[in-house]
Amino acid sequence: MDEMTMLRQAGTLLDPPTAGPPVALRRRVLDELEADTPSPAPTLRLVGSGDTHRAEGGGPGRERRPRRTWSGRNRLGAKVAIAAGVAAVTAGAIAIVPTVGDEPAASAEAVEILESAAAQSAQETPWEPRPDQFVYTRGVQRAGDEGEGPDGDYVQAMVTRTRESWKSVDAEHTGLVRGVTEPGQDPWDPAGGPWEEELEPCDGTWDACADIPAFPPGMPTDGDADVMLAFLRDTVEPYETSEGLPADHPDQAVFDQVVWLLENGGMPPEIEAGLLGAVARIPGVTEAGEITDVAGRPGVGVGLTSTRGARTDIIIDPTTDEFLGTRSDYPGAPEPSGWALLESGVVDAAGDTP
Amino acid sequence: MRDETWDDMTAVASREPVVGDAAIVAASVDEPEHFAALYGRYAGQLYRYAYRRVGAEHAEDVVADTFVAAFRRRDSYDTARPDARPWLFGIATKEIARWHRAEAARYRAFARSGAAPDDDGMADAVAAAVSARAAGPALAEALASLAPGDRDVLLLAAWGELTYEQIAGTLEIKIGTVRSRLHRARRIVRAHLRSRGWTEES
Repeated sequence: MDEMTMLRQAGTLLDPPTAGPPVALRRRVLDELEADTPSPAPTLRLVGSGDTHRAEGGGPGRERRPRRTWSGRNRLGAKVAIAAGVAAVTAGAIAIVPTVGDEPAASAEAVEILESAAAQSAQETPWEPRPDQFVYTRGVQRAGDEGEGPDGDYVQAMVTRTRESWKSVDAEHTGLVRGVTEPGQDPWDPAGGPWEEELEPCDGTWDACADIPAFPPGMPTDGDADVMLAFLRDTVEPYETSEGLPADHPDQAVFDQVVWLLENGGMPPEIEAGLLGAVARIPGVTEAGEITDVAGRPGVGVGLTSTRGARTDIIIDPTTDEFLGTRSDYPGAPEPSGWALLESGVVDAAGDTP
Repeated sequence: MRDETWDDMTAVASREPVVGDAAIVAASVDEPEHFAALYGRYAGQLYRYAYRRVGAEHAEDVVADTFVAAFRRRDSYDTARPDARPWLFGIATKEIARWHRAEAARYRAFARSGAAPDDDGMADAVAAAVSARAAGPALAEALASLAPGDRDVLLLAAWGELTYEQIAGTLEIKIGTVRSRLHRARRIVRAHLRSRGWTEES
C-alpha cells in the first residue's frame, strides 16, 4: 500500500462524528449570504434568532404568521374551539395556547429543527387529495411483537418489515397493504417473503375500523402550527392517569398522535408542516442528537420523554430538513423500535405508485 | 423563481442536481438566492475536509467563510468550469491556512494518542483498514511536520480528490509546482512511515 492510499484511509480516523455538517451551520451560512446580499428579494425568508416569517409580500397563499410566543406561565385564555370537520379557520382567529404546568418550552435546538422541517414541508406542492384517491406510502418498520409463538410458548421479537400501503382518503374505497418480511426475522412467519392484505371499507369512523381514512377529516391545511396545535388539543383525547402511576405530560397524547399520524399516514405536506410546527410548541420537546433511522439514514431526533421514561423522537434529515421517520425507546424493550418513510404520494388506485 | 427561498434552493439542489454548478453561479449574480444551492451540494464534503484538517473548533468557521468568500466573488467565476467543487476547495484551503498552527497541533495530538483530539473513541467506530489505523500516528506526525503549502497540495490530492490541474487552478500555482510540492510531501510522509517501521510492502 502506498502512502497516498494510507493517507486516504487514515483520513477517516479524523472524520467528524456525524455524517453531515451541523444543522445550525446551514442556517448560519444562509444568514451570512443573505446579510451579504445588497437588496434582498422581497420574498426571502428572514431567518435568525428563531423568528421565522416571511417579509411583506410573501409567496402566494402561503404567508406565514409571525410566530406567537409563549406569554406567561399559566392558562391565560380559552382555546379557540375548532370543530372536527371544519378545515377553514377564519382569518384573524387567535389561538391562545395554554402553557403547561412548569414544563419549560421546547428547547431552542428542537424548535429550530422542527420549524425548518415544517418550512420545508410547507414549500412542497400540496397534495390536496380527492376523496376517491389513495395515499401511498412505502416504509420500513422495526417493531417489537409479542404473543403466542408457533410452538405455543410466549415469544417476544423485534421484527423488521418493509411495507407499502394504500389508504383510501375517505375510507370508502378498498385499500391495500403489501409487505415483505425477511426470512428468519419473524417467529410467526419464519420463511418470510411477500404478503398482501386488503383493507375493506367500513363505516368510515376514524380509529375503530380496518380501513381508516388516510388522515383524520378536517385537519388544518394552512401550515399554521398554532392552529394545528389547537386542533389537536381539541380533538385528541388526553390520557387518563392510572392510579399509582405518574400523571402524563398534558400534551403526551397530542405528541403521540402526531407521531402516529406521521408514521401511519404519509401526511400531505400541507398537513405535515402544521404537525411538525405544532410539536415545536409542545413544552418539554428536546433535541436528541444524531439518530439513524431504521432504513440506515442519518438524521437528528427531536422528541419527548414521557413521565414514565419512554422516549419517542421524530427524525429529520439535517441537510434537506425532510421528515425521515421515528424512533421509540421504551423502558424494558430489547431495543428501540422505529419507522422510516421512504416514499409517499397520492395515487388514483390501490396498487398504483406515485 | 422569485418565490424560492434560500432553504428551498438547498433542498431542491440536494435532491435533484440536474442544473450544473456553473449555471447556478451564473444565475446567482442577478438572483443571489440561487447560490444557496451550492451549499446543499458541497457543504458536506467541505465540512468533512475542514474537520479532518482543523477539527470541530474551526471547521464550521472554515465552511461558513468559504461560502461567504465564494459568494462575494461569484461574478468572477469562470463559467467554462462546470464543476464548482475545486473552486470551493481552493477557497476553503485559503481559509484553513488561517488555522495552520491549530491544524499542526491537531495532527500532533492525534499522533500522540492515536485518536482525534476532539472525539471520544471514534477511531474504534471507524471501519478503516487496520493498517491505516495503525499507521495513523506516523502519518499525522508527518502531516504536522510538512510546510503548509506542501500539506495543502498533498491533502487536496489525497482527501479533496482533486487532480493536479485542479489543484494548480485552485491554488493559482503552476502545475510543475504542484508536482514538486506533492513529490516533496510524499517523500517526507514515506520517511516518517519508515522511521515507525512501515515499508512499501506493509
